[in-house]
Amino acid sequence: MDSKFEFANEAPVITTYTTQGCLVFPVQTELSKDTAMDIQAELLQQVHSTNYLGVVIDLSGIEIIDSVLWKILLNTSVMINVLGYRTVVTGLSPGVVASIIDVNLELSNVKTAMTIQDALNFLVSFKSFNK
Amino acid sequence: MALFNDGDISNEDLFNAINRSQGFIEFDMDGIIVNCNQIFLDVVGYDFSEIKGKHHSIFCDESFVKSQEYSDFWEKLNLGEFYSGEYKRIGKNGKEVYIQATYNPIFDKNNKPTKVLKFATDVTARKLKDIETESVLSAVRKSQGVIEFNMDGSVITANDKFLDIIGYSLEEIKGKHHRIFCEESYSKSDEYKEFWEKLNQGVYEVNEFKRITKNNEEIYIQATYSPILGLNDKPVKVIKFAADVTKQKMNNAETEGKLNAIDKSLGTIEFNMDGTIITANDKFLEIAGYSLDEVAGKHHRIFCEDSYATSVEYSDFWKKMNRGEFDSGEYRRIGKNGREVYIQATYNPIFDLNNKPFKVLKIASDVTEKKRRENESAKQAALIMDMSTPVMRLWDNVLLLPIIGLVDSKRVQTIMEAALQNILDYQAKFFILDIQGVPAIDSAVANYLIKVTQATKLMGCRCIVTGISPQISQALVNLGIDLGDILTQSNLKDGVGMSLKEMGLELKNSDSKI
Repeated sequence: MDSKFEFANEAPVITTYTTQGCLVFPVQTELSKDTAMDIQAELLQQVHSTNYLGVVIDLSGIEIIDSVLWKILLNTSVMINVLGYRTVVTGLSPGVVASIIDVNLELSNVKTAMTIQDALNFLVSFKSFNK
Repeated sequence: MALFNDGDISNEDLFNAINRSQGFIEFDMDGIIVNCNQIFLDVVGYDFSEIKGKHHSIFCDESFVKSQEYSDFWEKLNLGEFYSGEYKRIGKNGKEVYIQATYNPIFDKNNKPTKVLKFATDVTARKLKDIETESVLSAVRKSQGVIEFNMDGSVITANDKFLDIIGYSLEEIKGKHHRIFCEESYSKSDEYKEFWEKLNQGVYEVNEFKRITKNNEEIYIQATYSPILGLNDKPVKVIKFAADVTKQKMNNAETEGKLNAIDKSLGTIEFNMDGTIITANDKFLEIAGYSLDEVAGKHHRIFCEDSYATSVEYSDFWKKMNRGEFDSGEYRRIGKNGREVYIQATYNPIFDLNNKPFKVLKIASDVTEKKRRENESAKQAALIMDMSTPVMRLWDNVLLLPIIGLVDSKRVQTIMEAALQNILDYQAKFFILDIQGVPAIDSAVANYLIKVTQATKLMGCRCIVTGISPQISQALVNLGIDLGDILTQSNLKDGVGMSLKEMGLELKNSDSKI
C-alpha cells in the first residue's frame, strides 16, 4: 500500500482479492484502531455489494495483536455473518495465539483455519452444504 | 606523768624532756590559761599573748562549751580527777585539731588541786587518716559483702550486704563454720582443708568461688579472703570481701556456650584487613582441607580461583570489607589440591573502639554436598522439562502429545509453545492431547488444558483430548468445568480413529494377512 494513501484523509484502499468465489483479505501490517475501523467499513461494503461464498481474513503478516484489534476483527467477523456470509480467520502465528490465550481474549464466534487453502475448502463445502 | 610535781627538782629533767617533745599548757582551777609552751602554740596556731588569761573554752566547740559534759569535765578536774584521751579542739581561725592529751590536776599539801597541767600531742594527721580509712571501709561495707572469720573458720560477724547475698540472718551463721556456705563435696575435700591452712599461714586468697545460699541455690561470688595479722605477725582473723557475680557468671557461661556451639558446628576463620589469615578453627580447616600452619599468614585468595582472585570483583570485595560492610552468600571456593568446595558464609568486619574495622570474622558452613544435589536436581528438572513435551507425528497432519505427570503453569507454557510450533511446522489438522498419564485433575489443571485446546483451535487445528479415565470424567463434571466444544475420547485408540475418520481416512485389515 502506498504510504501517501495512508496519510490521505480518505478511506484506505484495501488490498483484497477473490479466489474460488471467496473474498480474501490479507492483513499485512499491524493496524491502528482507526485504520482497522475504516477497513471494517470498507470490507463490509465490498461483501455487501458482491455475492461471495465467504470471507477469509488472513493474519499471517502480523506478529503481535492487541485486545482492541482482536475485538475489531471479531466484530467484523460477526458483522459479515449477519450479512449472511461465513468468515474464517487464518494464519495466526504461535506467538499471536499464545498472547491471545494469555490475556484471555474472547474466542467464541470465530472460525479459524491454518492456511488460506483450508479456509477456502471450508467455505466452499459450507456454502454447498447450505444450498 | 601524773606524778610530776612542780617543786620536785629530781623531776626537772623529766619535765624539760616532756616540754621539748610535747605540747604543754597550764590552767588554773577555773580553766584560765596560765602558761604554755611553743609546741602547744604551734598545735593551736595562737600566740601566747592571744591566749594568756583566756579560758580553756576558746579551744572548744561552742556547742561543747555549753554542754553539761563540759561543765562536768571541769568539775571533775576540780575534784582531782585525771583525764586522758583524744580530743577534738578548735585552733586559731576555727581550725580543727585533734589532740591526744592528758589533763593532770596538781595537788597542794592539803591534797587540794591547785592547777591543771595538760600535755598534748597533735594527732590531727593520724586522725584524718583514720577517718579516711573508716569511710573507705564503710564504703566497702556498703557496696560489698563483708564477713569476718576466726582462724578456725567460725563466723564472727557479717554485714547486711553479705547476709543478702547468702540469704542467712546474722544469728543463723554466727559461730557456725564457713563450710555451711560450701557444697559438701567441696567442704570435705583436701582442697578445702588446704584453703584454710593457707589462710592460717597468712596467705590471702582472691578468686571466684561457688557458694551455696540458705535456699540451697548456687551462687558465684568474687571474693578476697584476707588474713588479718596480729602483733606477732600471726593471723588473728580473716576478713572476706565478697560480691555476687552469679549473673555475670551465668552470662559468661551462656556466651561461652554459644561460642563453643558455633565453634563446633561452623567453620570460623579470621582475617586481617589486608586479607591475610590470622587463624581458623578445626571445622573450617576440615572444610578447606588445610592445616592451620598451611594457611596462617597466607592471603584469602588461596581459597579462590585465579580468575576470581585477580578480578576487579575480588578487589572490590576486600574494599567493601575495609569500609566495614558485611557480606554473606554462597561462595565457590577452592580447597587443598584444587578441590572445589561450596560454602555458605558471612564475612563480618569486627570494629575496634574507634569504630574502624580491624579484622574480618568469617563464619562458614560446607554446602558442597547440598550444592551438588542442587545441580543434579536442576539437571534432572531440565531433562524432565525436555521429556515433558514429546510431540509426535502420528500421521500426515495428525500430532500426538502425551502428557505424563503433574501439570503446572510453567509446564503448560512449554506444552503450548511446543504444540503451536509443531502444528505450524507439520500443518497439522488434528492435535491429540493424551492425558492418561496425568494423575489428577483439578480446576487449575483443567483450565490449563482448556487453554491448550483453545490455542490449537485458533491455529486452525482441531484438538482431541484422549485418555480420560472414568474418575477424571467424574472429577471434571463435579468440578463444574465446562469443556465447551472440546472433542474428548476415553482412549487414545478412539481419538486416533476419530481424527482419521474426520480426514476421510480408514484403517482396513489387509486381506493377505488374514
